[in-house]
Amino acid sequence: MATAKKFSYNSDSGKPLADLSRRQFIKFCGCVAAALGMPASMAPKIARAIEQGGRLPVVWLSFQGCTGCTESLLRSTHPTLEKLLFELISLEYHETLNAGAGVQAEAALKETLNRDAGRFVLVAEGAIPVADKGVYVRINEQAGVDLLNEVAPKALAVIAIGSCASWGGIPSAGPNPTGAQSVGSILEGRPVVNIPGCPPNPYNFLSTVLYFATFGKLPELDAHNRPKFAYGRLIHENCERRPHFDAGRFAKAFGDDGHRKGFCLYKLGCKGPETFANCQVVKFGDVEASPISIGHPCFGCTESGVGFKKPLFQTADIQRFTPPAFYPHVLEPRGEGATPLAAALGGVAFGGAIGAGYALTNRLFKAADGKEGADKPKGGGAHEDE
Amino acid sequence: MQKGAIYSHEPSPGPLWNKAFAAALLVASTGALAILLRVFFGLGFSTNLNDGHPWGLWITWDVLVGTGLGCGGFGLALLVYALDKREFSFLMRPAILTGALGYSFAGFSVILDLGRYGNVYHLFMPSHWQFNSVLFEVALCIMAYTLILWIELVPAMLERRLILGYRIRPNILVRWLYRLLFVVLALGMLLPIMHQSSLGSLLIIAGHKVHPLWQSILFPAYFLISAILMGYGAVVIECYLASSLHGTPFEVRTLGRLSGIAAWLSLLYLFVRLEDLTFRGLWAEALKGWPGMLFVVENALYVAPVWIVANKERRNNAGWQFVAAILFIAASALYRFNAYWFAYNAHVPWRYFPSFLEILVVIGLIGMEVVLYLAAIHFFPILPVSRPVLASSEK
Repeated sequence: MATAKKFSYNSDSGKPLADLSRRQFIKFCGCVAAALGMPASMAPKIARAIEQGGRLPVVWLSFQGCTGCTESLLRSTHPTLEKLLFELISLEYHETLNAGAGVQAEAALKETLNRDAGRFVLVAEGAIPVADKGVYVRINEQAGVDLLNEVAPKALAVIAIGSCASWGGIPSAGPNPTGAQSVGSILEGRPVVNIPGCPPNPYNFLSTVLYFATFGKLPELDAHNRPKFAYGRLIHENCERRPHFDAGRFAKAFGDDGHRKGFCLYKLGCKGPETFANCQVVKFGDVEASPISIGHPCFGCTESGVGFKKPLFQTADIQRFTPPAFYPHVLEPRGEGATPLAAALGGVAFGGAIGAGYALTNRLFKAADGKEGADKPKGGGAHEDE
Repeated sequence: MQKGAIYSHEPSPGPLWNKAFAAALLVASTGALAILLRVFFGLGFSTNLNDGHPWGLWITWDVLVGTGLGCGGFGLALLVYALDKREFSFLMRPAILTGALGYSFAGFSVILDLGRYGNVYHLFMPSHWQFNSVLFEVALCIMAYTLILWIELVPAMLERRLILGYRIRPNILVRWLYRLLFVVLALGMLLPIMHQSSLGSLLIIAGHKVHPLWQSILFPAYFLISAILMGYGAVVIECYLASSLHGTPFEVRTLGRLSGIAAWLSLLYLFVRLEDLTFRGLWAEALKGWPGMLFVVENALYVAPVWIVANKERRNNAGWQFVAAILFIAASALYRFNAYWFAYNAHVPWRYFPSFLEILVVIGLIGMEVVLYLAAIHFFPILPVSRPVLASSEK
C-alpha cells in the first residue's frame, strides 16, 4: 500500500489513484487531529484508519441551498479537494461534482445504494421543503423529501452540512413559503450530525467524517447535535477582539476610529457572544481569516434563532460573559514616587523604631552591667520593634 | 539557677492605663480614621498601588513581617513539642499571643488590600474554592492557623476565673478541648510550615519579576527559616518585656540557648542561600547596583547576630541578646521586603512608594496590636514570671 516516497490508495476497483506524498498525508491527519482537539499522537491512528479501512463511501445530496457548503469544501487546501475526494473519502455521488450527468449520474447513485447499503455516509446540504408535497425541490422527477427518505435509511450515518440542513437556514426564514425544514426534523428518530455554518468551515466537516472513519462512532455531540469539538465554545470565548470587549473598547460605526483600530464589534451587532462555533480558532480559507477578523460582526449563522432571524445590527444577548461593570484605563498610571508627606511619615516611623530599639538596648546593657535582672527598667510599649 | 526556678504566668502588674497605653491608643485611633478613609474612598484614593505593584506596604509589612513575628509560637512549638526541649515551654504563651494578634491583623490587612473587600466571604464558601492556587493555600492555611492560635490561647484565658466580674468555670466543652489540645498543637506546627513556605512559592510564580538574586526555587525554604528566626527574635524581646514589667530576673541562660539555636539556623540559611548563588553563578550580580547593596546588607544582618552569639560572654549578656534578637528580625524582615517589594519589578517604568495613608494605616495597625497586647497581658496570665527556689543550692 504505502511505498517509500509516494503514498497511494486502492480504490474499490483496486486501481492505484493519484499520489499524495507521505509527508502531506501525515500533515493532513495532524490537522484533522488538531481540529478535533486531540493529541498529535492521534494523527498516525487516523492515517492508519484511512490506509487500512479503505476510503469511506460518501453520498452527497443537495436540496434547498446555495451550494455554498460545497464551494467551501472546494476551497479546502490541505489537502486540496481532488486529493480529498479521490484519496481520503470516496465521493460516490454529488450533484455539483459528478463527472456524469442525468441518467448516468442517477445510475451511479442507484448502484451505490445497492452496493454500499449500510456502509456509506450520507451528507445532506440544504433545507428540505415539505410544503405542497415537497414540490419546491425536485430531482430526477422525485421530491427532495422523498429522495432523502429513500436514501437516509440505507446510510450508516447522516451528516447535515450547513445551516440550511442543520436548522433551516435562509430558506426557513419567515414567512417560509416552501415549508423548509432541517434534515434532522425530517429524519426524526435517526441520529443526524449537524455541521451548521453559512458556510461551515470545511475542516469541521472533514474532521467529523474522519473521526467516524477512525473510531467507527460519531464524535460527542451537543444538545443541537453539533460536534462538541467544533461547537462547544462561544465565538466570544476565543475571539481575538475579546480584550477590547473586556476593556470596553467598541467600534460604534463602520469605519469609525475604533473600527479602524480593530476594537470589539459587539455594538455593531456582533453575535459572537451568543454563537457557538470555532471560527476564531480554525479560521477560513487558509488565510487565517474569519468575518470578525476582517471587520464584520459575526451574524450567528451556526445558531438557530440567531442567524437570519435576528436583525444584523441588533446587539447580541450576552451569554456566560457579561461585560465588566468598571473598565480599566487604556493607559494605566505607572505609579508615583514618594510624596514628601509620605516620606516624612515613613522616615519618622522608621527612625522612631530604630530610636526605641536603641533606647531599650541601652537600658538592657546597663541592667546587665549592674547585676543580672537586679535593675528594673520601667518597661512598656514597643514590643514590636523593627 | 534556671534549675531552681518555678515558672508561672501572671497578669502584668500596675494599672492598664499608663503612658505607653495612651500613646498606643492615640496611634491606633489615628490609624482607624485612615482605615475608614480606605474603606469609603477605595484603594485608588488611599494607596499608591498600581498594576505593576499590586501588593505594597500592607502585604509586605502586615502579612509577611506580621506573621513572621507571630511565628514565635510555631518556632517554640517545634522546640518544645517536637524536640522535647521543655525548658522553653514557659515562653510559649506570650509568643502565641503575638502570633494570634499578628496573624489576625495580617488577615485584616489582607481584607483592606482587597479591591472588593465585600467579596471576602467567598473565602469561607467551599463552592468558591480553587485548589490549584498557591494563594488560596496560603489564605486557607492562615485562616486555619489563626483559629488554632486563638484556641491555644484559651487555656490562658480560662486560668483567670473572673472576667469583668463574671465567674468563668471550665465546662464540658472546655474539658474536651483540653483533651484534644494535642491535635491543635500538632496543627499549630504543621500549618505554619505549609503557609510560610507557600509565601515563598508565591514568588516563584512571579518568575522574572523578582530579581535573580532573590528569585530561587528554594524560596519556600528561605521563607520558612526566616519566619522561625523572626519568631525567636520576637520571643526574646517579649521575654525581656515580661521580666522588666514584673521586675523578675532576666532569663539570660534560656534565652542564650535560644539565641544559639537561632544562630545555627541563621548559619544554615546563609549556607544554603550562598550555595544557591554559587550554583547559579550569580556572584557577579551580588555586588551590582541597588539590588546588590540590598543583598549585601540583608546577608550582613544575618551574619551579625551569628557573630554576636558566637561569643559565650556576649551570648549570656542581656544587651547583646536583645541586639541579636533585633538583628534576626531585621534581617528576615529585610529579606521579605526585598523579595516582595524592593527587588520586585514588573517592568522598569512601574514605580511604587507607599502613600501617606498607607503608612498611616500600618502604624495604626501596630498601635492597635500594642493596645490589644497590653490589654491582654493586663487581664490574662500571659507573661511568664520566674520565682527562684531555694533548692538551687544543689547547683
